[in-house]
Amino acid sequence: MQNSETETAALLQNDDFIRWAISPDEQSNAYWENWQQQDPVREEMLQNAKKIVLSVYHNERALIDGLDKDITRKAWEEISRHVETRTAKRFLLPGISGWMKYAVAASVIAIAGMIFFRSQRKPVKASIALNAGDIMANASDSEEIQFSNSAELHRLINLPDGSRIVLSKNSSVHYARLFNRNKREVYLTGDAFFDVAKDAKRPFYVYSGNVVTKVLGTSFRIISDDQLGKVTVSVKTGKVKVFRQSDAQHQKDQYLLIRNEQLVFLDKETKPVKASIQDGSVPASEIPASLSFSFDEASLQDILGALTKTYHIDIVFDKAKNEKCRVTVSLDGKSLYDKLDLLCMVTGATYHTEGGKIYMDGKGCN
Amino acid sequence: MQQHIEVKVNQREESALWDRFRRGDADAFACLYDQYAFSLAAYGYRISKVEHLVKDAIQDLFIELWRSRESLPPVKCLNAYLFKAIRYKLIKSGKLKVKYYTDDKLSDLLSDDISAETAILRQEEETMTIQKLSSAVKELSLRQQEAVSLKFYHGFTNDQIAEIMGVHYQSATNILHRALLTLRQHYHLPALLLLYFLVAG
Repeated sequence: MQNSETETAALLQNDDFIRWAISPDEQSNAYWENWQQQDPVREEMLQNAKKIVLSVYHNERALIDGLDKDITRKAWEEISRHVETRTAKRFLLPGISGWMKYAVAASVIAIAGMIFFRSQRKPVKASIALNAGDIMANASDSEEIQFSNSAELHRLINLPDGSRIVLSKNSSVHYARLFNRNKREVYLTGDAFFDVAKDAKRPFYVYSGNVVTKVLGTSFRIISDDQLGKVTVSVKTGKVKVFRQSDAQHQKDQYLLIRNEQLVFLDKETKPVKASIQDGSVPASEIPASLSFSFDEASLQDILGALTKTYHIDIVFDKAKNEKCRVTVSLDGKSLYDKLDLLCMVTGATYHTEGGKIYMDGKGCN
Repeated sequence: MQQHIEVKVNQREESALWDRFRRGDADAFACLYDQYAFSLAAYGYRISKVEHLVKDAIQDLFIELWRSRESLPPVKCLNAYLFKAIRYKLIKSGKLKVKYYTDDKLSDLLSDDISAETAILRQEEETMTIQKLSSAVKELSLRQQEAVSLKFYHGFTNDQIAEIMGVHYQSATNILHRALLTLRQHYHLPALLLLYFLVAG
């Protein structure tokens, strides 16, 4: 048997054999099946060698049992924030329905892309260079913006999607400045009231401590205390889903709250307590009426200036070329992007996002 | 050898994916992540035993990959490349136990918990083997354990193990040889196994 033993040992040194033992597939099964049939002693040899490999394998696997199986999804949440979502060109095409809309949109984007590429490449680069201090913003669209409120009683923040946050004193939020990803995500420390613009395709998430509140369009208040891990979610209108970050996969640990319901997480671990609250007693902050964006014979600079001020996003455009442009328009689209779409429709301009900024390419006026 | 053909095809797909990612394709990047993230996490956890370090290392690595994608080289064996990188990240974090480098016997880094996996195996006839093996593995130096894990769990070749652990091919072979020598004292691996390692080593 000396020969057979040597062969068993040889198998344990054979990388293909080890791979087959720990992750067989059709092809390798066929190969090793064929291999052992060529000589009667090979079958036992193969089984022995396989047993050894598998016992080491199972032992190794047991050693990583304690690892959170969700770890890669959690890590990806962070990583994906750093991956650029290059083009956020959106066009409003009223009156055209169905597939036509997409066809038109596609060709508009294609043409706009070409025009942009041909004519605007250099000026864009130049304008980036002017803001050389802003290297991080240049790197990706994932630049975060943070608001802290340490002085005022309430601070209103307009999000680019049309949602609004009333931030209480000693609280802060941060989010991706352009707010144009598949998920709308806001990170809260402290106390804030949210009035979320409806967008069924892009759910809105608020992360506070280890609690996640998911909504589609509604208004609610979150009060969180990072040190205690206490989080209170109170719903004023609509409905929201609340869960701990670690329970994102488990349906049973997700809580659905409707109007005038409240969920209290007392600390970072224990199960939350659900309660109903008196109608009208949700401590909703006063939200001022929507801002008016009506312009009469206004310059592009004024209009874009107003948008920049409201949404805290730099909009880069060629001032000299557009100096003579006068626009009369009422930008009552809900979100910043709706407003930009409308403005582009009226002026024949196009825009795109890059490096945390919006670049507007107007045709100019004579 | 069909085996080789198959490996080559996988490698070709892998390097195509890698190339797409280097050109800035975010989908390819996500694909790469899905494909390798968990085994990287498993490996990181095996050598550090600290979950949040593993998560940080994975985040750092992939964010860095994305940022520097245009300057990354073509890679022959992506798997080994990423393993080496995650190992480097963990070491650079400075929190991987220093013990690790001294080849100390045994470690307090390994938990004694009997996992669900082991519990199931317990009912099977190989229980004894596993138990013996499990205590035998704990006798190994961390370096030896790492090599055994790379070889018998992740399926790397000695060549790749040397590359990942940053040692010469001969050292990797020696580490594995010594590991099996120790294992044999607790678990009756066929004598031939050692014979082979002695000859090959």
